[in-house]
Amino acid sequence: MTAKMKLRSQLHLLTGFMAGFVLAFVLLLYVYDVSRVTPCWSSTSTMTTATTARIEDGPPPRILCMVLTCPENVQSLARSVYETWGQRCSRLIFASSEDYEPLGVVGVVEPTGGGYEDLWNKTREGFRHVWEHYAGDYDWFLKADDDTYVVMENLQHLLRGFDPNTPVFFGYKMSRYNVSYMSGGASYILSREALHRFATQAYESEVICPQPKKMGIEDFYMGICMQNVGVHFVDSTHALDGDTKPKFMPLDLENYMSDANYTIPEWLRLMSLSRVETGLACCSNYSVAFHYASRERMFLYEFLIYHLKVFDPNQISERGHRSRLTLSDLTRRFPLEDNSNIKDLLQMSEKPDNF
Amino acid sequence: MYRNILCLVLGLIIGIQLTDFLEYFQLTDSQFASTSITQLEEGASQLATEEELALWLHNETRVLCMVLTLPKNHQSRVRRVKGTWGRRCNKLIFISSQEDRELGVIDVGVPEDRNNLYLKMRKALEYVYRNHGEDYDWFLKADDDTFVIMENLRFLLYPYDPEAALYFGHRFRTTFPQGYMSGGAGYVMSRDALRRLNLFAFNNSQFCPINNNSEDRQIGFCLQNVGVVAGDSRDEEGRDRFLPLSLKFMLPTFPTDNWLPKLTFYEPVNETGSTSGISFHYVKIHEFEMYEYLLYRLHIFGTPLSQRTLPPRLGPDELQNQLNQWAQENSTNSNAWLKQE
Repeated sequence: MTAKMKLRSQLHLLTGFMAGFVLAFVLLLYVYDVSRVTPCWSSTSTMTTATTARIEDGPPPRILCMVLTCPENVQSLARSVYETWGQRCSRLIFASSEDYEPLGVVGVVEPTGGGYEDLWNKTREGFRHVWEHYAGDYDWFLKADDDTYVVMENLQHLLRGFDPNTPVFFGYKMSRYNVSYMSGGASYILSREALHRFATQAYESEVICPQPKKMGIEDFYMGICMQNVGVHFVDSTHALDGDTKPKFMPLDLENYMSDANYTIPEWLRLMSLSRVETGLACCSNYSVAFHYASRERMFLYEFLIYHLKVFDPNQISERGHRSRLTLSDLTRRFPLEDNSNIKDLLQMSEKPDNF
Repeated sequence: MYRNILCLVLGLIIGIQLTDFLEYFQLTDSQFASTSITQLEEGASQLATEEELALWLHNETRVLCMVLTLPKNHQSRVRRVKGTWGRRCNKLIFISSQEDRELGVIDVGVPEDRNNLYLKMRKALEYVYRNHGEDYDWFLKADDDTFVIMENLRFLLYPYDPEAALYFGHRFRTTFPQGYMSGGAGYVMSRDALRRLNLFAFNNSQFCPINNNSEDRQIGFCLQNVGVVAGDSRDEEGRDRFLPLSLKFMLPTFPTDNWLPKLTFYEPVNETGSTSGISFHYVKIHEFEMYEYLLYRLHIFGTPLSQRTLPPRLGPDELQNQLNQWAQENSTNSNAWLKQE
């Protein structure tokens, strides 16, 4: 009897244990499921990201940056370029009227010149100098002013899609007197082949390329020369698949960010090929260049773009892969400009002002 | 019969306890597993890690933003704050003297006057405590000419318990020992700090008198008197994250001929701004979109970002030690105008 009682007690105890386990397990399982609000970090997405990150393109395009400056600006604007975005060029050259070795300033025009009126001459002689000394060493040749700020990484990404041995002229495309050109202040880029054609065909020909003169309209003149040597005009607005906003900004970013209409000058609206937007819709997320950057503005860009980091998902760096356009692709997407009105400058029926 | 029932109940209790004990170990392992994921060495993995962390952090560290404004700025600055950095607050409230429901502006009933700013701030803090005091972890005060990088703010706040009496900003020194946080750079207080202000400070004319003194200094005085500690918001290299001046003053090669070095609590670091900066002041109307564009829209191709891991949450002892250390801290700025009493 006593043995039976003990056995029954133990049996009840065991039953109690089992029931307790089951009950607690069910309860805690429910609670545990509810408490799992924190997202798990999936190893699958990690692997996907790792795979994506390992895609590598070929070597980045070698870009020579030719920045036009003048003796008065060497210690201010030119130095700012040198201390900020100029460091990310493959090579940085300043074209001026006097040499200044510490910053790599080269005098390419007469010492008496060098001001704004010599802009066209400086550009011509600068490109000639660059062609004579560096044409074989670089793929692309950027011309900027000393008040331009350039995001070199985005430029490199843009240029990866093009062959430097094809004749390509890159920038913010505009039109003046029905003639296409690239905005000078927003900066423009010549491929190696384009530079070669300029230096060997256009430079010395007064028929197809305006000769040196004071107050020459530098960017407009360069557009004429490029057209007449069969260079393709690539409007940066359309150079990146899936992105249709300007990437080279002829004005300071401040002018675009105000939503008042008065901040966009009439000349830009008139000569731009597409509507000029303001506010956050103004510019591409992969912008390359901003004009009218003061020394202060350059350091602001440098700090906000490269130094200050936002702990934010959208800051994950893009590693898009771009395939290169062949010459036939280039011709189809960016056909040669119609240069019938300007192919013989000496025989032009209607000459624009100051031509 | 009773002995049988007793055995059954005893078994149930023991079983529940044992299962609970085992489950505890399982939960602990899960937590360790989560931690180890965030510590993965592989750079590529951390790309996903930071992205997930930032999204998760938005809800883990909930910040209510109070932006002080006035009626004439509703259609200009308020719209711009609302369209840029204000979108990244968990809750955004504009404090003014005219209501505008569409914009989320409330009227706290204080007429606009430079001398009323402190009173306006008190009313704002009372309103926020009454309506949202227990719904958010941190409460940020900003002006309508402040730009705040909310992600970097959460990055700063995450290690700290919102139930600690603590606040952060750009610390100034003044005649009372703890100093105060600059109003223009913005300051952020914990849930407990807000609670203490409302329960123990605002109804005490000795701890928190009503007067015409400047808003940020007076709020600092009130917070000190109810035991709220002034936290150090500087980064690992001692650089300020909250900037009471325009961003341009923090850039290199520009003149530092301004009032800031004479007023700031910590010895100024002669360098550029912090890489994890949080706020700028004196933002012009068009600069809101410019900062939004340059910080959030413009992408740099190909450049791997140096990834940051989230700093660990402080345990109760660590937090208490940190609070004690900050509470006893003296100003390190030898250029200060005012001598500490």
